[in-house]
Amino acid sequence: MEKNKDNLRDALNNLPEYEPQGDLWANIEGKLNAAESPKVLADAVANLPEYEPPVRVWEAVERVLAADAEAARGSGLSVLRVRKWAAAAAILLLVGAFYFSSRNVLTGGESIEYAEEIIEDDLLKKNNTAEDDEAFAEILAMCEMQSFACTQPVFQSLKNELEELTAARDMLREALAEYDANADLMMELKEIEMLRTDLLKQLAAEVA
Amino acid sequence: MTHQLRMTEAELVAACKRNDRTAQRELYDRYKKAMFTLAYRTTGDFAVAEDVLQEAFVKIFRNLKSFRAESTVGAWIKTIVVRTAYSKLRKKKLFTESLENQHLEQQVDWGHQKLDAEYLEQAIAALPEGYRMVFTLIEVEGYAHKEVAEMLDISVGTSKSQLFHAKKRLRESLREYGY
Repeated sequence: MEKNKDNLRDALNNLPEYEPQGDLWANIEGKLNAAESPKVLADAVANLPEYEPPVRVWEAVERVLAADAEAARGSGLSVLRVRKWAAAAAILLLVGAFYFSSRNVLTGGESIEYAEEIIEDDLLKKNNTAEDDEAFAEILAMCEMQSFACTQPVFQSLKNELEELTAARDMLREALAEYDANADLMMELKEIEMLRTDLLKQLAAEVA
Repeated sequence: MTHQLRMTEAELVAACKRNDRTAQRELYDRYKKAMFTLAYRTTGDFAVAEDVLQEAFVKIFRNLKSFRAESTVGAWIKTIVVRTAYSKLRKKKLFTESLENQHLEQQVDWGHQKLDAEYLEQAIAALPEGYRMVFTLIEVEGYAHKEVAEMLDISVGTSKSQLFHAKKRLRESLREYGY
């Protein structure tokens, strides 16, 4: 039980009220504005215009796609031919190795026939292998700084193709070193170098 | 009467993977407007946006075989457009300002008055490139800071800082237009 509780109630009822400081409403209003402001911005963003690209953009895309398709057809055929010649060079090397290892047992009655072919100097002089190797090293260096493009399937496929061509080139060179200048092999070597240059351009375009 | 049914997105992607040029054109047409707008808004230049759109769609069609449908094709295309736009700008130092957390606590007050989209567009175009890129990706395209940070190879803090400064600068610009 409480005694004279009315007295307490009266006192409580007479407790004073206090006026808030003058800038309190300004603070509340600021917070309300801030809470509403994203909507104001979102409404304006939703009304931003869209733009139509000019027709020439698709025309340019289509030209590149058509060139890609053409290059894929040409590259596919050339690579097949390069593989064929790389295989031929490998066989040539094996036969050569067999001949040289066994010639000490050849009898005096046997003879070796050979034919000589002249290779045009220009064919050899136009070789830009060193420049291409340098360009490939630069592309790989760029890949270290910018990994996204280099992880893409197109880049990887081009890189694999280039490595395959490089291996075929090295094999042909080895065959040429053994048997001196053979016109057909030299022509194929030249073609490989041209294909490598083309692939390097495509690789460079991918990382550009 | 001929009646051509609209291909589903999956059918369209499958046809594009077979290098069907009509399907490629259809995919381009579906996304060209949104992607050109995104390219313009992130670069602030229509001529650069044309280059971005062209390069991006060549990359898209060349790489479509690697699309695994883990996201929508639209989201995948958008990422490629953003990365292509970014690669056009990244030679310049876009994100040079250091993160100052105390500034990020400040409020940017957009007021009550309805903002005019045309003025907003002009103000966005006038932003420095780093600010514009992050503002567009987050406020217009709806990406999260984490996604922007991954796409642009910057930290989340830098993304937040760029957005704050972009908003501050935009607010000042809009005030000059009377908003």
